[in-house]
Amino acid sequence: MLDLHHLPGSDLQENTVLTFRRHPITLIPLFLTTVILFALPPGAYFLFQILRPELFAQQPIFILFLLLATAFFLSGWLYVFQSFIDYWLDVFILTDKRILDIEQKGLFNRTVSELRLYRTQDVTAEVKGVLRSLFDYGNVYVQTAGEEERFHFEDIPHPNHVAKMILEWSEEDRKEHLEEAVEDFGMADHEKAAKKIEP
Amino acid sequence: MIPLYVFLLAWLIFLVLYGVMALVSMLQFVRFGVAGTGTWLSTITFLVVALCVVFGTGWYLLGADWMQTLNLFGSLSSSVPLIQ
Repeated sequence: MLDLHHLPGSDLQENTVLTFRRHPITLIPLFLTTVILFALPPGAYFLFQILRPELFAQQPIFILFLLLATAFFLSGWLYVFQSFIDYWLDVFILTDKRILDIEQKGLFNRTVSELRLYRTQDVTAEVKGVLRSLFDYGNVYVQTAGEEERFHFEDIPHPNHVAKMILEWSEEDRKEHLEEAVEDFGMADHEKAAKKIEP
Repeated sequence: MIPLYVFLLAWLIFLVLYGVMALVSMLQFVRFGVAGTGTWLSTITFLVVALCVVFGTGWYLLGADWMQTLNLFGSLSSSVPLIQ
């Protein structure tokens, strides 16, 4: 399991600041699928009872229906569980040193992207649409100096607050890693010279 | 005329395959999930519901006579009109 207090590749003084996933509202289609899944077998039973009441009076027919209904329900239930796994295993973790974007695609496809905070160049929060505005969820884009230029966090709650936190912690981390930040972003010659003169 | 135990056999094979897929899903979930209540609760919920359905169905089917035969097309068709 992924322990938030002992993240892979972390150093001793790293602390988890924020953990977020997609907004639960994105689970509504899955919830509706679950409701339909629970309702279909008994619904079919009652429908047959109304239309053809003599059908289930024969035990073999009822047993066949029961086996098919059970197989249908279990298959759907597994599908719901796997869809939930896909949601639950997508995690964005902000620590005081880095951002981790863990993305699960299906059961056996997993991508972990990591960004050192001092390499963050720009953070953009985006809230588009009525539903997103009402429930305050949207996208956050993190522009970096790394190989993957832009991190994209989709449909996360309170994107403005998250963007602000990323920026604040980036500033803190940049102070600790000034030399590396200078290498990544570059500085004008006169600024470099001014830094050399200062005691 | 198809004996009922044929359908039982097919159902049992389905259950075995289902069990394997469910086990793999749960192992992946527990392995890569964030340690916490949510992961355990959702895994247990899935397992409990699935087991309840399987054992509930199995309990009912214990009393069935599997040597009965089923004439699928004969049983499903009827001279009684569908809507009276």
